[in-house]
Amino acid sequence: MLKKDIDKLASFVASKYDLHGPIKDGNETTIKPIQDVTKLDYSGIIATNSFKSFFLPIREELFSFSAQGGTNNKVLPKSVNSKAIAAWGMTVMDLKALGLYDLVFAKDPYYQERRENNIVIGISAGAPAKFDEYQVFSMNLEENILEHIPFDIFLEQNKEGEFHIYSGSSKGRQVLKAVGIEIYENIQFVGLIPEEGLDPRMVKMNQKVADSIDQKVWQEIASICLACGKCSQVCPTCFCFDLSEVSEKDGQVTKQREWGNCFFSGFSEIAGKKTFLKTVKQRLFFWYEHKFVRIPNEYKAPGCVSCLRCYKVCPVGINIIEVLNKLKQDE
Amino acid sequence: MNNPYLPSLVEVEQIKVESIDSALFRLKFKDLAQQKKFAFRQGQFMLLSFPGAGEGAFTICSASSQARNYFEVCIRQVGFLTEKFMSLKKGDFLYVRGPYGNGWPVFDKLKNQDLLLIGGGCGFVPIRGLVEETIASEYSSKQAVQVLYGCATEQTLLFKDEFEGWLKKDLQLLISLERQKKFYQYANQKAIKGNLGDLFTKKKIIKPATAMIVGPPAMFNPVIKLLKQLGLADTDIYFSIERRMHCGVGVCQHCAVNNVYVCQDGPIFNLDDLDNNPDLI
Repeated sequence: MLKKDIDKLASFVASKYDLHGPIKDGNETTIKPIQDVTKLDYSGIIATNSFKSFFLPIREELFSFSAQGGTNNKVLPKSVNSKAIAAWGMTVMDLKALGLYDLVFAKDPYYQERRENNIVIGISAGAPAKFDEYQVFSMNLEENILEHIPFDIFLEQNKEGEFHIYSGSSKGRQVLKAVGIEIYENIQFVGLIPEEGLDPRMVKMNQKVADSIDQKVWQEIASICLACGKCSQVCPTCFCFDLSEVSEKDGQVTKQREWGNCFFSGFSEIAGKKTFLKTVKQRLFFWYEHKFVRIPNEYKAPGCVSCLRCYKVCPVGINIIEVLNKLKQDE
Repeated sequence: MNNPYLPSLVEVEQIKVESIDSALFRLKFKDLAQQKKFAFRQGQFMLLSFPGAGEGAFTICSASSQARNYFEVCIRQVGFLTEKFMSLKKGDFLYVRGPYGNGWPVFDKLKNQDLLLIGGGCGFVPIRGLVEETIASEYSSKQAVQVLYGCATEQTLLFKDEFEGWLKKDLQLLISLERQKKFYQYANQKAIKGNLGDLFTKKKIIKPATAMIVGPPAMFNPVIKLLKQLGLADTDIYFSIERRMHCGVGVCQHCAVNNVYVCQDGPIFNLDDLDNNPDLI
């Protein structure tokens, strides 16, 4: 399949969905709404932002309820009610993160409705600029990887720039059929966990990070970390959230869910202003612990997909790979 | 798909002022069918909310056998949400979801079945739930139950009107007050002057027993030390902790303490759990 066929597919998808994908603009690649499908970037540069807001919006309304007495006391659930989005150009790493979200939000009706509405188009491109550095805990280019990541359509690009197409769902097949694409391979998703069992790198990392709070590396990075929380914002697996309220007219109040950030001081605060994650060191460790200990324990899947977006946006250049390499094996 | 965030309406059936800043609320689901189906384990908590004032976690402090009729929470005014609750009157409503958490262990399955119920300050609220439970289940007539209550002053003591009733049901109640001009009397007993730890030196504490502790974090370590001196094993000591809660279903991360979620794996932990997770206290 040639690039022009893929553009045709993208145009069709754009006619049915709100199309978002990576666009290269100067030195930066970002995921944006797409007007011209020929501008979609297939170079393999990881976009600065992630696709997560299409599945877990920065802010979403959950329900409204009333502070008035009488008969107005009904709780009214909100429906997702947004235009269906096509997430175009998700890399294997992004799709692993999406697979994790599918597990974390398996019982969340808002996530599920959005997930059902949206369409996911993956691409094979996607490795950070410095590949040598990246290999440290990369899980890219594994065998049978496509069976272990969720997608509707996946585009594999070869060195000549030609594309091989895979379908991962009936939704994907319907779109391919509508565009007249008949040559594609069907992939059956069998879950995130490889046949061989738990990812050995994940297991090793879990042991390294757990109980490492007293190692000096945490104090070292805490001394430079600004606790700005940018890493959490761009991370495709970070999913902490807050529940908050907005007062509307007539005494109606809307309950909303917003992205949370474990680097912010109110994150662990309880009544009486007591805070449990007091220091930057504690918050940093909490962030790493979520990815490398809690998520693997709960979902048997890695909590970091090694996209290095956190490193890219960090104003003081904290490199997650270096941090993990500095952790001692036994302690 | 069940929506875990939607709260239900409950009506304030009864309010009893307990101290200068606390009141006991008896709540009943507006939907009576929901009330009839309602069940909880002692030690579990509810997320209570009022539109515009937010949501917070409150441990149920009534007997689980009454769950089909009502449940009670005791609220102390500390912030915006609790200030809103304190302004409510009988017949007003608020919203709840839950119950959440693991709850205390079932009494009959304990190794040492005499109970030491220890509460400090407003941490005494969940202890009142345990007291209600031992009375309702007639556990206190089979086993020794000793209640230790440490409080700042007589004015902040909760559930004063219930003390006599507890003593009649064979519970032992020991009270320490940090500040008191004349000794506070309940039935034919007197509170001691001092903190909760002083009860261990001035009174006879039952043993062997299973201890259940709720209170401010600063109280835990001294009390645990005294319990160990008394000969209690780590596995005989349970405690309840407080953390920020948003979702209640182990997703949002606010209540995570290393590898556990307090909203699901807690709020009750065993002292043995500290081996793997010292940050719980």
